[in-house]
Amino acid sequence: MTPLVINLGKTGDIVSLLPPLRVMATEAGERIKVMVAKKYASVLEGCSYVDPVVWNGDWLDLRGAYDEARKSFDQIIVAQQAGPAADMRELSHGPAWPKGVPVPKEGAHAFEDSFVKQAWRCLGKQALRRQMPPMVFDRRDPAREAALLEKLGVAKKKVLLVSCGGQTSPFKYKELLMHLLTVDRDGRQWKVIDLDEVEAERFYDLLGLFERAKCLVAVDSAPLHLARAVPTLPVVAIVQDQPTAWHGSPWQPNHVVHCRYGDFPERALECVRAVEGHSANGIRLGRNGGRAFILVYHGRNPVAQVERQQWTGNHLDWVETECQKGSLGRDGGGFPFLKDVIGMATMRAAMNDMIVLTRSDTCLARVPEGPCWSFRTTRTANGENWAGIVDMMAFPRSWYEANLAHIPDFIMGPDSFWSRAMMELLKATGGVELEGGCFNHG
Amino acid sequence: MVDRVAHNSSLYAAFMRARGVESLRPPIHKQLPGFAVNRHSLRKNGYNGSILVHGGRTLMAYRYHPGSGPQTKLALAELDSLYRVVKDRDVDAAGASVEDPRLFLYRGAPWISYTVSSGPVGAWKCVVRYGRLVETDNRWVVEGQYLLPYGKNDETGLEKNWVFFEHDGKLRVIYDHGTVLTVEDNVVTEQNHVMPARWNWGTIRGGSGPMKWGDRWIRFFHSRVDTEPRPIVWRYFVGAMVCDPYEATQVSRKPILWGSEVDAVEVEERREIFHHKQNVVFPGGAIAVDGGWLLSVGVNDCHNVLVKVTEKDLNL
Repeated sequence: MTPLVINLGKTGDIVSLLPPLRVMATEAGERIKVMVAKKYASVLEGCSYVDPVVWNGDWLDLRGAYDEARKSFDQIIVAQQAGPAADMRELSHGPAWPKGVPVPKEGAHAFEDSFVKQAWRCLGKQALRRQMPPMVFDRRDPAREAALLEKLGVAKKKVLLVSCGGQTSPFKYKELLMHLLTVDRDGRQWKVIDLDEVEAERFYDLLGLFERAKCLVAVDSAPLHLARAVPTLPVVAIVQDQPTAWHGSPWQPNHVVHCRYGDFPERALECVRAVEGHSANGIRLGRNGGRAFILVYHGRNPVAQVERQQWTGNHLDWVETECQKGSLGRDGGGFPFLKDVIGMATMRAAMNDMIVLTRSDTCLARVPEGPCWSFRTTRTANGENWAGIVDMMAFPRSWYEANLAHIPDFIMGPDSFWSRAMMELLKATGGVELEGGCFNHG
Repeated sequence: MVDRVAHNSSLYAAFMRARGVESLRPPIHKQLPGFAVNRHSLRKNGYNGSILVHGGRTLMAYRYHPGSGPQTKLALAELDSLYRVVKDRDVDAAGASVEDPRLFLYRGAPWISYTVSSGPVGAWKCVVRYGRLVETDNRWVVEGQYLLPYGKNDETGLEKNWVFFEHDGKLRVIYDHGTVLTVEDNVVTEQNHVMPARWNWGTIRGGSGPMKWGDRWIRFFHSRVDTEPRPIVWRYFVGAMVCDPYEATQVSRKPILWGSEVDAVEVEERREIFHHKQNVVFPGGAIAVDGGWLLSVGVNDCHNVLVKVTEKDLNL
């Protein structure tokens, strides 16, 4: 007997839970019952693996819904992440608190660094995130989707979708963003669609539009969550950071920009330029049997980026994953945690794809063929200088999954401790030094 | 707010401990065929040896700490055909701290150069002195103890790592890897500026004097890079260069030897040596042997190792 999952709303939160719910349904061989508020229940009509249990009360009345559910269900999982603090602690976060980890004095609260991840943890599916189970709507209505496309008149133009009107997470720079996105855009080539103005019979009818679009620019809103269902759609994600970063949606592999609300003034142009700055074919994910190189680095350095592109040439297919400020929930004193960074790459990589971990100012000189590392070489006018700093590590995703448990929870900062430890682990598992594998410009 | 460095250094230490990883590279005597000169036959924990063959005898000068302070004195050991210490005597050389000897042949006799340091700790000044070695009943004496007036060799700076050698009957000094001096009667009569050799592992310093190798010359040198994780920071390297004998015509493409965190001294004993310093390898001299060279290196400021280097090991 599968438990009842309670997630009353809103639409975005419900949608973000669909991937693990589908996994649960597959495992159990039956549909998962999900209690949702009446106002948001229609979104579940698009999914055959979920059986909605409608709650007629307010979506924030978590206690009321729970008490009602107990009349009919023995097993209940509260995956909702919004509600009175005491109810959240008792009903949602408390039961999901990891065993063996001391509970804080004020009581168990969210363990994960984002509300979306916390909801998955409540289902016991937090480890699934790196496997990237798909978001599936298997009861779409092609006729409704076609009618919507017709109505919006998108036939021959590149479509840019914009969603700036988040209700739960209002974005105060909406006007500025819309202006920046439209001011220089050639109306003959582009169709800019404000999703806040689009009326669809069912929320998931937007999927046809998403599949047709070149890019989605979205603040923390339901369309941002829905974009997960179209993994090749490039997304410029602008996410909440108040009162804490936990309240913002986590990075997804199709986010070409992941910017916090508070960083928007500084990164506004980057967000806007990313609309056309990515691959014309959309996000390329790892391919089984291919030699796709997933490059993860910290920050952005145009020179190194160009040199990397020249290095990879045409015979290699690679994807660059940028670990941007604010894109990872955990904060190590202004730096990300190493496993969170590599985790980003694993979300785009197939098992035999190589993950190349390097710095923003590092250029690659040799192709890593297997687990390996390279020390820094700095090129100057006077020659080259070696340094005992590991500037490049490469390993297939399968190596990382096999050795994940042995990697301490380092912070990926400018010190050498984490890179030296990774080097030792690579060495101990058969990796080799790739001499002259990388360089930077002094 | 997380203290990132404390967080990472703690995890790193625990990680390395759990894996039994003590060093980036093996100890010197395991990087190339080599062995530690018996420390217990030398002055206590002597190091930075310089080896020379003269008159059928193998000599090795080195430095050691006579007391518990940073100052050192010099001693000179004689080694048998198996490089065991058969005699060990002090070298009389004046100075507050006498360091890093280098033996060389000049006019058929053994000579020595060395560094003399003086001044308060942290504000050292160094000069280089040299002279002919004269053996007496119970010690070696440095005749002349000349102070060559060049550069800051007047106790206004840090002059060290000069390499003396003889070429075409004259005394030469590799002052740095771009300048070679000719010296007559303790006066610089010629300065040759040569193209500095390209080497990626820090500035080329000191090393052994050039030795004839067929129609070429070869010498060894050390360098240092300060990019290691704290608290150690540095790592020394040894390379080789083929020269003419002033200017390099070939240099090792990568180091022959890497300074290591570990060495031939047992861990418990290492802790007792107050001047022990990790990651140091200091080539003070070399002699030609069958199939290559025997290089004398100081290791971690606490003992001496002789390593056999072949042509293949030069990484040219």
